Amino acid sequence: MGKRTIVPFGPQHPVLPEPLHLDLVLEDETVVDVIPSIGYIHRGLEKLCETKDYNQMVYVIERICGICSFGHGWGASAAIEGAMGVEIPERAEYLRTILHELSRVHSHLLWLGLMADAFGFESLFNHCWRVRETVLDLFEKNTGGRVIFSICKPGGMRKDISNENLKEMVEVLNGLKAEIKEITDVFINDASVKNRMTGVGVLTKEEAVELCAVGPTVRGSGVAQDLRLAGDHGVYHELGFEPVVEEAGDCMARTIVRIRELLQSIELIEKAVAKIPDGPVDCKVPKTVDGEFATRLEQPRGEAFYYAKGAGSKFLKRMRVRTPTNINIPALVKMLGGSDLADVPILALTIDPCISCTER
Amino acid sequence: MILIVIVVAALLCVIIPTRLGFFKFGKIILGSIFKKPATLMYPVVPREWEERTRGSVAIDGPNCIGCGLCAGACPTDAIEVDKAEGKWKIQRMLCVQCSACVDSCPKKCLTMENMYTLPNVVKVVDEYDIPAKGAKKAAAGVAPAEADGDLTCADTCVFCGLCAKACPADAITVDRKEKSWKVDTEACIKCGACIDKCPKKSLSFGGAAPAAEAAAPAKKSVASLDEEKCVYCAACANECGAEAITVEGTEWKLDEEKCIGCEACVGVCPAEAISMKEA
Amino acid sequence: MIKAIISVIAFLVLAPFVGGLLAGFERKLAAKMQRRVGPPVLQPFYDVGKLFQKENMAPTRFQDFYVILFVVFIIASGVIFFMGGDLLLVIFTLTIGAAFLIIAAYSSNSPYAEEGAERELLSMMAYEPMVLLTVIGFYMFTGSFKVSDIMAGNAMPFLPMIGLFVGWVFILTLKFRKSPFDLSMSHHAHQELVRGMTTEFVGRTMGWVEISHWYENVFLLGFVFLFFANGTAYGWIIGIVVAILTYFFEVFIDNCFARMKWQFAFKSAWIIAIVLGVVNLFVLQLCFMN
Repeated sequence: MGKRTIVPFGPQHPVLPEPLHLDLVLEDETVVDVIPSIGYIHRGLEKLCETKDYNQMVYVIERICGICSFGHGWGASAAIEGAMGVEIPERAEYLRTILHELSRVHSHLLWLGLMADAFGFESLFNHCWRVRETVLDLFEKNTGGRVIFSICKPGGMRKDISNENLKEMVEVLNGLKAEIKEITDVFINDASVKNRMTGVGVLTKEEAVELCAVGPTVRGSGVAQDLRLAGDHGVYHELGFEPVVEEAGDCMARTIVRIRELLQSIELIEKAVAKIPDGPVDCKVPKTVDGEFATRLEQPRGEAFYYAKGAGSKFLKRMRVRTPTNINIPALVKMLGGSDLADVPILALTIDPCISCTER
Repeated sequence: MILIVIVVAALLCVIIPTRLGFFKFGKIILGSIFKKPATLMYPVVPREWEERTRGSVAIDGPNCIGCGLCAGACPTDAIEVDKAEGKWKIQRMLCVQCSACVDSCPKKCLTMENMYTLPNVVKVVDEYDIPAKGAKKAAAGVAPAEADGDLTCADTCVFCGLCAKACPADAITVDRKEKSWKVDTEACIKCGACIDKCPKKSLSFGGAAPAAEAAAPAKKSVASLDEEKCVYCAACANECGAEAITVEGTEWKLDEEKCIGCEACVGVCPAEAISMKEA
Repeated sequence: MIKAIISVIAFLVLAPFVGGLLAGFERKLAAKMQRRVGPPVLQPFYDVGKLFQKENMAPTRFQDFYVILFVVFIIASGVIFFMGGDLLLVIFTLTIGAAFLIIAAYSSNSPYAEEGAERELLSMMAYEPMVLLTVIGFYMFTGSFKVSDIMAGNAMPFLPMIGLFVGWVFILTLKFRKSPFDLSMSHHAHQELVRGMTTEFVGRTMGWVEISHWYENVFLLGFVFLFFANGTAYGWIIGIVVAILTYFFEVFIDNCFARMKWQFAFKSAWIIAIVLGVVNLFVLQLCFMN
């Protein structure tokens, strides 16, 4: 047995801009044990939601995360709509689906960039983020915000997006496709990238199921689990959605899942824009919330869970959010055991961690 | 001779690794050298904002009625309205640009500007003058000039409830069955939204209602649908204060007895399929 | 003798400027490759100037002492080289200098720096054989270890030593610590080891490390130049042009690769050294030693 060293990884670490702390117990360069700890960015947003009325609360919930901000707004609105028993108009449902898929494009491009940075490929990182910038511009044009959109509200959408703008969005995204394919080809085929990712951090199908992994992490291990299939929210059934699954279970498989989802999301947006009906984008909602409701939504990172409980006033008694990273941490610890120190950044990023989401 | 060898050696150095699967990114980055950088040279080159870009909240002071709805809607409590002093204050560093205040404003005097508040080392609080309490509502234009009292409703009221729906402060309660109309004068913020909305023009602030025009009720007219245009979105059914319209699937029904002829449905119809006809 | 003194002074004064400018152009070029605008060309000088103004908060004072030794030995190896001295002496001084940097990293007791130092030791093991083989190649070709003799030789060593040249360019990636071999300390600190060996260096100490890297880079490119020296102006021009091209080729490689693990660095460096270096030496033996 070699000398054991403990290398702290985070909460402030340049490779991972999220305050996740891992105590890596090393023998030479092999990680023999990992002790994860979180709690560095708890902001008490769930408690804060209890002091805001349900309309204001959506703006608070949106700020849980800067990447899947739209998803959080949607999840919270959906939970409140459920508690109220309100059905939102179809056009609003379509718009939400489109914006959510656009968030996925933006989230996955960001993740690809961070992944490239984790294995020391700075130019790839910059190119991924350059492409992502166009997506952010689309968001700004259509919602008014680049990162925090504030366009979802209980009862529908606050603003309509005109059909012309939607068509333009599809055109821009189709223009990006070629560039995205060119860049993602490097991830899949470049020998130096393959060397770093193939066979690293293998999570078998059984382990993934046992550790309750979600999102691309579990889909990379060959489990077709995607809440968009459930059809609770959005119009995925009408768009003929099929989840992306890869069998290998290593970092490469998870990357390929995200790359394919990226292109799939663009297709979904295209289909949704072709089918979107005209009509109002919001409906009247009661002024008070009563009853409780729990719902789930597929975020770019995996399954997120929302629970709202009203108390007969316009304030909520309880708002609960559980985010995908929270569920994926056991899978991360499993993958890290026995890995190389050099692989730690890659493995930490492979679950697409969002600690700010996790702690709220 | 030497130059040729150098070139051949350099090519081999690239080709052999390429065969092995390296340098997949080479073409893109070499091409990038000759392309324009994607960097926006902000702030040297000013940014072109989108129409919807949310930057900072601006107020059209003279039109503000100091109702305080914006302060209530603000999720971060950044806005403070002091009606007595005639001041509208916003803590710029607390504002999160959600534009909830803009949506809540009954007088539409708040707008979202594209430019953000510039960074600063102190917490900026901006103050704007608004008409103080008791000042003439010159700009309001909806209420008669002499009226500055409590909200009252004239006998022409048909108890449609549109005023209660429009009220941002939930100050009005209307019971159609009991034929009662009540206002909570404490809660009323005198924004005039109900006066704008009232189909019978029977609301006013204080004094007698401008009954002259409403005194002789016109012949009853009801909504009618152009089925060609209708998209069955049910917006009219939602809007109808009298619950006279029902939409189920592609069936649009009007209960003419209930219809009060307020034309609210005409206004909300996105397809312009509803018009008024005589009953 | 006077010529040697002039070139030494020229090296001491000009090398940091040339090295800094090269680093500036490198950053500009890398930015271009990434579709960015990039910093001004003089940015490396601004950075070092700022480092010298910073408070010295080193975890241990011994570290500064080792870093000074590192700087001295790196400059010394350059001086010996440009003075026209013995190539063997040059590479030994260079190795000693590198060793002092490793000791400095060890002395900080930081886990990041220690891991970085361990990896630097491994990459030293990876590139040292090739360095030795190159020097031996020069000896076999010109019959002398002295730089001045090689410079004055009347045949260009490049063609007969092309295998060694390619190998030298390969290990330059290790020496410059560019991707794929920036495993002991990367340029961007976006690494599992933060910034590897230099994690705990601050202020003035870090400034000196930067400056000595400039010296080292110029001196390593001088080695590239040596492949083209044949005592004529023509050789000088080709040498300088190829040295600069080599540097930018390294930038290109830096932007085309993921960071590899030490196992890959070790294997590939030794395979290159054995295949290209040793075969080239055999050829030299057959053609020139008789």
